[in-house]
Amino acid sequence: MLLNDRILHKVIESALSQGADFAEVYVEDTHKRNYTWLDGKPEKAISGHTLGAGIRLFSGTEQIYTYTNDLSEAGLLRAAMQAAAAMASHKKILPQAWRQSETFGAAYLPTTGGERQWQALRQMDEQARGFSSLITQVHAEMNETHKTVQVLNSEGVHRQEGRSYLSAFIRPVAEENGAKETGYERTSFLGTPEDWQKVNFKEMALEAAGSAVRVLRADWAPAGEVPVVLDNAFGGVIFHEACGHGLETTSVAKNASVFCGKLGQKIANECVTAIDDGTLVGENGSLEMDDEGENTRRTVLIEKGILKSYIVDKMGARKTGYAVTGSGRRQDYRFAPTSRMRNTFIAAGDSTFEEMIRDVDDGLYAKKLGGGSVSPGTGSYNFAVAEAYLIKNGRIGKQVKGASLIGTGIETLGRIVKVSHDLKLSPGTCGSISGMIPVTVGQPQILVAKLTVGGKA
Amino acid sequence: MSQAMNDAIEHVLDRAKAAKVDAEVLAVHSRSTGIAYQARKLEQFTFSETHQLGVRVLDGKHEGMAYTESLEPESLTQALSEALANARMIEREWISELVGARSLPELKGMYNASLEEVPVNAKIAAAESLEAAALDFDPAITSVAYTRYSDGSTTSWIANSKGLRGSYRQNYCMGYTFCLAKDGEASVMDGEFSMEHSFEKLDAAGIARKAAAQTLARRGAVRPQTGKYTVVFENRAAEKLIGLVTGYFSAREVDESTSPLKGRLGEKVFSEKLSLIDDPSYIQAPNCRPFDDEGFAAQATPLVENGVVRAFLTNSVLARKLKLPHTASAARSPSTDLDVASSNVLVRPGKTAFADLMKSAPQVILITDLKGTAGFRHTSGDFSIPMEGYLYQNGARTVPLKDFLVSGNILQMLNQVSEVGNDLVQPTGSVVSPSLLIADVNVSGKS
Repeated sequence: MLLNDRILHKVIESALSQGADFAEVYVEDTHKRNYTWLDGKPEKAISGHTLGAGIRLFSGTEQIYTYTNDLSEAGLLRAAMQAAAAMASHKKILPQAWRQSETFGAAYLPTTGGERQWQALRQMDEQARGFSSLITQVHAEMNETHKTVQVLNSEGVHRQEGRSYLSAFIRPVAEENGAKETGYERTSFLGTPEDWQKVNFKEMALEAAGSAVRVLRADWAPAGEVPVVLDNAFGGVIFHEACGHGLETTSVAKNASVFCGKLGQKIANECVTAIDDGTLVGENGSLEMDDEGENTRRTVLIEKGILKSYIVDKMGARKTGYAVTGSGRRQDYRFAPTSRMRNTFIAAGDSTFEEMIRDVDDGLYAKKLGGGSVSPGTGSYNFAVAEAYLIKNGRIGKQVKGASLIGTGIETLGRIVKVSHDLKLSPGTCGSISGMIPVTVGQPQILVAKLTVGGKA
Repeated sequence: MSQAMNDAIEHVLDRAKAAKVDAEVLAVHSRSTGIAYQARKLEQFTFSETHQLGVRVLDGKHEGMAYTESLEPESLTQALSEALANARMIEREWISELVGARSLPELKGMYNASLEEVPVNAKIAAAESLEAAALDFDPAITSVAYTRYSDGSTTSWIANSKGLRGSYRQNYCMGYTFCLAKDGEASVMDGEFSMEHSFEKLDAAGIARKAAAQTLARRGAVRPQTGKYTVVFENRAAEKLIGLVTGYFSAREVDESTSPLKGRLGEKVFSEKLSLIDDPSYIQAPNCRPFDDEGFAAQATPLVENGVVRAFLTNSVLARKLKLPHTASAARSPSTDLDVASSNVLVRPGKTAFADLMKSAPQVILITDLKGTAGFRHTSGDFSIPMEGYLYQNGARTVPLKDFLVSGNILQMLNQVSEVGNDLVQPTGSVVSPSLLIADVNVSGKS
């Protein structure tokens, strides 16, 4: 238990004292460890401890949020009283009867040493350099996080969850004749340090090194509008960015989404079903409860092309009238929770990858996507393709570099004409107004009939 | 907070001394306010007070770090023991040499005491105005997608086991508004952002009206024909463009071979019209500091003079390792390890007025924004980036442009700068640039 019940009850009572129709206190205690490898040796070892609380009040659709890392009784009550003074609503409620806390997940166990981690990092370095003499640098990191969150609110919610995350990445640099390119592979999932054994570090290193070396010799992608086959797994980041964010009530409630008012309407072809699911075992975006204490769940967003649900947090529910979907998430206590995605993917269809490629005369196969961004207001996005190949006359041809994909979410959705049966997921980190949170994206291979590819004219 | 933080710092340094190791402590204490309106109603009011303390332990060739947000003695002791354990795992060839007690400089203008006295009601009124003035500007503004007033103040401390003690304060206030307007079936969005050290200077209604006007001007945009154009990067867009290369001046990037400027010190890489300076004392911009994160007095460093690369930015370790002049550019936070970073990078303004830049060819594309930089390849400088702007014919604005890409190599393009404008504006970020005229730019649009 992070804070005892008596203090938490007093905080809620103080927060409600000047009038409000909802009060919540969120307490967080997070331990992090980082191991960084560079230049063939251990480069950095950092440990961190974050500890703080956020107090939130609602009156209708107005929200007051304050956060502090003074967790003394006096410090928390001072914050609660300041929040109450800022709200000063004429509407007053009393909290629901207090309940015993429900606890999910594991407690924090401090770890010592780091032999296993350095060994894994060394292995990645050796594998990457062994792959090709063109690999001149390897940067790799492993991160371990244990987060304990506690939520108590005036509606009787009183819950606590321990969440353990592991993540690792490798970024090798390949050089040839003065040209330099980088490769990148990452993994991220729910697990304690014992679960590092589940990771195939060798495969990660070889894949990243291969990617860096291959792109070295690639020509620039041509710019133009062409059919694009997006690979499975991290290819799903386009759906996440271009459509997922537009389905969050954060955007929908303020009419700043192209998907506003489209519930029940056909927004994609029948081959497209999309799901946001927090219940998948061990995945990066999975949780027992969200950061508002709601049970996580599986939410069908689009079913056979029809928009079925938005992604709804508590405040989003107040503003839009839609029921919460257990999607209130935040990076840490510094952020009020908002509607966010969990594990979001396009469901498996019935096409095959081979027939998609066969159907394209002149197009692009985007095998690996890199970073990108989206403006939810207009739905326009742009993404770098880390590894891309031309498709000519139904066959995958030469590799090209520098391609980016540019479009708008709603237009792209309407142009998905084939979805394969080979669904794969891939972890990521999503940044939005409530901070950086772990998520999973995913999809089977998809064929987009026409997409603007940025390259060189 | 000052006393509690000073006590915490001394607690950690005492324990380090007992463990017979050198240590450096960085700490911050921050307060912030944020207020947002939506549909003319107060939507969110956020305020906060937080602190963080990080310790870096140096034990011979070993270096390790830990940080904590609890100032309880047992948490501080725990952080130190974790830093010691981490240090045992890391052995470095080049290690920091801590500076001893010295008098650290002050930088006037970073902290404005009157900003701390602004009544909450005035802040709420500013937040309201940031939305309302945009909605009132024209009924064609359908909604304000993003808007917020915020302010913050931070106190930063540095202390080490050699007796160094220093701290400074800084504060700011800012406001932004991004509006949506219908453009046929689609929507267009544009916005405005402003940052000040004085509340009185923050013109909330002005920001909102400018955001609204810019949004409406985006309606009816067309796609330009693919081809080579004379292009002007408007000051705000020029700042984003220059922002792509500021990392190239980091000695760490040079050391790790990720900067294409490696080995080109003294060489003319950029246009002779371009001069860049790293200036930590440029008070209008946000990245000011009286001393760097190792405790060395900050200084202005010319990076490029008339196109010639003049310096790489170093901390004490990289200066010794690469045998480069020490520029006091150490950057680290309580939770991150020692690095190097630019402060405010300023492009020296030229003499040409913006209107004259636009008349430099019969047809000129004005670039007003870079829409994401995913298509920039850092280590080579090759890029293909979606942008937006306006077409000018004979110096007069004709039509907004959308859905096009500008591609090339950033170093080559900055070597093609043929004129630098005289139109510096109040910075919103750490790169400050007037508008830049560049000929023969590759634009991919309609073919």
